[in-house]
Amino acid sequence: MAGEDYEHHYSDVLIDEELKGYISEGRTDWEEPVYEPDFSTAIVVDNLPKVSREKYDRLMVFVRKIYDQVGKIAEDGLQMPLDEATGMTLGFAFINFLTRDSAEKAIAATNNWNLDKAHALKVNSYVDLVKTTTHPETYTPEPARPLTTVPGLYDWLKDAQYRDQFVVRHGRDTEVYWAEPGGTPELLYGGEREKAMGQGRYWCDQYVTWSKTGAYLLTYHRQGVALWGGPKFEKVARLAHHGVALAQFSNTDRYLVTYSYPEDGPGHVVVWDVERSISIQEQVALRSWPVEPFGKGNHFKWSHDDKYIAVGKSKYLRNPQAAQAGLDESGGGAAGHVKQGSTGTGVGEGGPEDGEGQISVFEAPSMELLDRKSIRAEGLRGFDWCPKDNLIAYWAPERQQQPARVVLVELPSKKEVRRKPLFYVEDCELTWQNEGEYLCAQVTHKKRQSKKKVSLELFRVKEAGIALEMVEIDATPVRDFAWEPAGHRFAIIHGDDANSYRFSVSFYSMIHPTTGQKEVTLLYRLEGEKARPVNKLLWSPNGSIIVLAKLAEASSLEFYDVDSHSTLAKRDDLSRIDYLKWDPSGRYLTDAIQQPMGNSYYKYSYDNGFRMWTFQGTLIAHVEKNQFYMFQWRPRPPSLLTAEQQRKVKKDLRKYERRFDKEDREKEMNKKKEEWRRKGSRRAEFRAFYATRLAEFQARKAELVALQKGYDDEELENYEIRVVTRRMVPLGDPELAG
Amino acid sequence: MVMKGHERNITRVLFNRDGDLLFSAASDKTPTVWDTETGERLGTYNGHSGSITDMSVSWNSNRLVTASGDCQVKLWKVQTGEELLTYTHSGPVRGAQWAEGGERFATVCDPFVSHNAKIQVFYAPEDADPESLSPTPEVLIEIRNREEKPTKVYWTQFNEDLLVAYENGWVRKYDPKTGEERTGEGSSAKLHEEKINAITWDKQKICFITASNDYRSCLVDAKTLKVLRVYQTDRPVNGAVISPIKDHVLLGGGQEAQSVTTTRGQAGKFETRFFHSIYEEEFGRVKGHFGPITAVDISPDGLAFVSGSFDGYVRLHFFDDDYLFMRDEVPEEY
Repeated sequence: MAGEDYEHHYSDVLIDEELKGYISEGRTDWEEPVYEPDFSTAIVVDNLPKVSREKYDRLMVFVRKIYDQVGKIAEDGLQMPLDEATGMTLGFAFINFLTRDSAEKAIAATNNWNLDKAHALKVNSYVDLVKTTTHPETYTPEPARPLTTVPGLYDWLKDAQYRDQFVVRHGRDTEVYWAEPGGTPELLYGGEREKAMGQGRYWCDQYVTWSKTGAYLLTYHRQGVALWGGPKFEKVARLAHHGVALAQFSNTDRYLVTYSYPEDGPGHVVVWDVERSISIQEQVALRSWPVEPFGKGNHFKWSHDDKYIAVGKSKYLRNPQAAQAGLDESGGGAAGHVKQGSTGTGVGEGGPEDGEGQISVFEAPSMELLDRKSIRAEGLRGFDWCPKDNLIAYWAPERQQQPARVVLVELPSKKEVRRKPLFYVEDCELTWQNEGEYLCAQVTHKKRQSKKKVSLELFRVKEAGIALEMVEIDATPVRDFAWEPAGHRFAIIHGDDANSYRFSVSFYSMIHPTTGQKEVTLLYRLEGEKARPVNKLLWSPNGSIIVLAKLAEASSLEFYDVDSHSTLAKRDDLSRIDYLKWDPSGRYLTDAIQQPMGNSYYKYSYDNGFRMWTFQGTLIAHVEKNQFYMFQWRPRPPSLLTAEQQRKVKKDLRKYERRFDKEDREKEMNKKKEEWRRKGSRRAEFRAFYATRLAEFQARKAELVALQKGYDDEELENYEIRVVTRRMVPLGDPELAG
Repeated sequence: MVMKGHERNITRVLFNRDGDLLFSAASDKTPTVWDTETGERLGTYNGHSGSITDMSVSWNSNRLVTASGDCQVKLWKVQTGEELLTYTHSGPVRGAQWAEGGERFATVCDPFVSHNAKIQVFYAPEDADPESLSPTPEVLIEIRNREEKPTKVYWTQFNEDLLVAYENGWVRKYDPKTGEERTGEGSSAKLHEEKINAITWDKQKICFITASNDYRSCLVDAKTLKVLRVYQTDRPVNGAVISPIKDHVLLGGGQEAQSVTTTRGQAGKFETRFFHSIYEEEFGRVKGHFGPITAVDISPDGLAFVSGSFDGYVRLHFFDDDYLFMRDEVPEEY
């Protein structure tokens, strides 16, 4: 290695007496060239096949071929030692790259990679290996550190009024509010602690996001992310990840995946153990990948119980980010506005030539590849976990002789439990019902005759054998599809009347409404005269009510009761809406008009803010903020009730209603009185001030009269007086009507 | 009532003290007077060659002074439209206001080439022979600091001080007899972050209200220059007035003219906004204009208000009974 050559320090040579005159005293800002006089550019590849001298060259070429793709190997940088006694290779090789970067990339990309069935490569950095071998054989335990737990992570759920929280980002402020039934939200925490530290500090200058169950608030910073929790929003963890652009929590908030796309270097995807990081007060990264093979999308998905993380890999895999930006929650990430990058393939877990598509399932927290083998999914285009079971659904289009297909795979057995071949498929979209009872594959078929056909393949996942039904939609395209949360129904927007921009909305049920048979049934359709300007469906989390929204430059919202086929409220002529979401309890709908951060010349810098509507469509709050960046409801952890129990509660709702109504009214009245007292005292104070000033004026009024040559405004004789009499007539008074 | 008489954006609207006359000025060089009751155009004051930036009618409605971008201030006889005298300034004139009693008026003009910005007081009593009036100022204040640009000038109670508003959000008081800047408490204050567009008074000149580009209006105690109340909007405020009969203030504004075309008409928020003057809460808006509102005034009896807009229209609104009989939201016993 080149280490020794640079042992005597470079500056020792440079700064001798002659040169001193040329260098200003105390100058420290020169840069020395970066040498890496250690072994950080070297890696050790272990678990290679042990081969004889004859096959030596072939293996050398093969290994070189693999690692040439990662980075440039130094001259004589590949060495594979031989056992002099047997003449066989020892099963490992040293590789020295030109840069440390390539070495790191090589480790990340090829560690645990299956060369063949018998040989899974073990790749380590040389430095680590030396560290391990020089490690003392005897174990001296570290002094035990107390584990930290954060008290009250879920305290907000115990609110006496069962209120929900939300966070807003505007200007330099990050504020968490309680939503109030009366409208005006109540500020809970707005970074006062950070502001009190002075020096113009504030809580967060980038985007923020809630964790999946609402336990933490995550703030993005240039150096990484910070997690805040508990009733006072104290910092519970800091995870360093330079240039982090997107962070996604696992379903139970145990883990976190962060993505970085720095401009000045390679990006990474890092999986963190959040719970451990908090409890031992140290950052625990479980695994990292170079971001490159995955592009700028989220192809890392957690199972519902966080036992597994699935990583989809295929050059056909679409970046969900593009579709999500804007309306989806994850669009709130810092990457929400990052430009799309190329989704390259590359060296990955499955080998260099795996553009074919696969889903790698890793076990958490060990991050070992399940059975050391990925699930082959040729041409993988889209995949997702069932929200309640360890079941993955994916689809792939036609390839060569193979038809397109939707496949359901059970984990951890990796057993294919259902496979549905499809023909003439142009596109397909998989949507799970939130309870995992149903899966819809919305299939757009290639154009035959004149129209594109759309069919909905509906899987009854909970049933033995997974029954499948198909619904064909004639009036296409389908513009939106939405399952009723914890329900049996779904709604679609479809039809193509581009001229009037009015579309049909259809409601279906997976269960026949009268017979109770498991049979997909069209309930009714809003079409023809009843077609409406709508492009987005948003079911209330409680079901029954759906918002038919048109999100455009001129937006509209319609609150529709699906049970009674009636419109509860309709609001037209709203300006551009770019965020629309129900609160977790289904009491309020909020829409927000946001502007991207860091773009002060954004076209829409006026009108920004958010509105809050009741589920009946009454506007109860409208908050306008100048630089309004984001709104996000704090999610609640998933209900412990089953879908069936939830349906029962809904039936008995009337019982609970009265109690809440009364509480709300009392609270409202108390607030009103409180406000009157406050305003009344301001009024009294203002009036007292004014009276003082007016007395001062009256005392000197003669001066003004003198200036006006004796004319006094208040002398009545200076006025011509007209008396106008008006009589108020009550409407519909029979005596006056005649 | 819509009054269409101007070809360019309105810059100033103004009731006389009796409220029977309504004056409007625009960028089109001809100030106009209207009959408030009928909306009839009574006459115009022709003579300026630049846009009108400010005007003031004397207490008894006999004299009008107009300030213009053509570097001139003109003195008019209100009833006949006769031009009595022209006061040539060294730069575009931004403000002109009568003192109480109408013997003097004050003006401000911009710096221009080598000339500094100036604040001047002219003596022009109504009963003097117009021939004998002098176009030279009685008092002249030069603002040597080129960074400080005065935008408007006003007279405080009993003509005690000149109150000058600046582009950087400051207001300063000057002695109208000597021209000296007042010092000590209550003689200057930074009220806004950006340009102050206009100031209007309540009847006794106890308080004034500002309108500024920083999206705010302030209600200020004239004596101490303390900000009593702040009215926050989401657009630059061009004009604000205090209701003489209710605890209300009216704000007119809108986004900058150059960015109007980037949003839809109704999204521009070309509305007069009503705030409760004590609780600082907005409670209503009046629509109508197609461009930002550039000027507002309320009649001295508080029964009507007028707004002028970038769209060139002057709109006169008479309050309905719902408004006039509206009670304060907080019951009196609180």
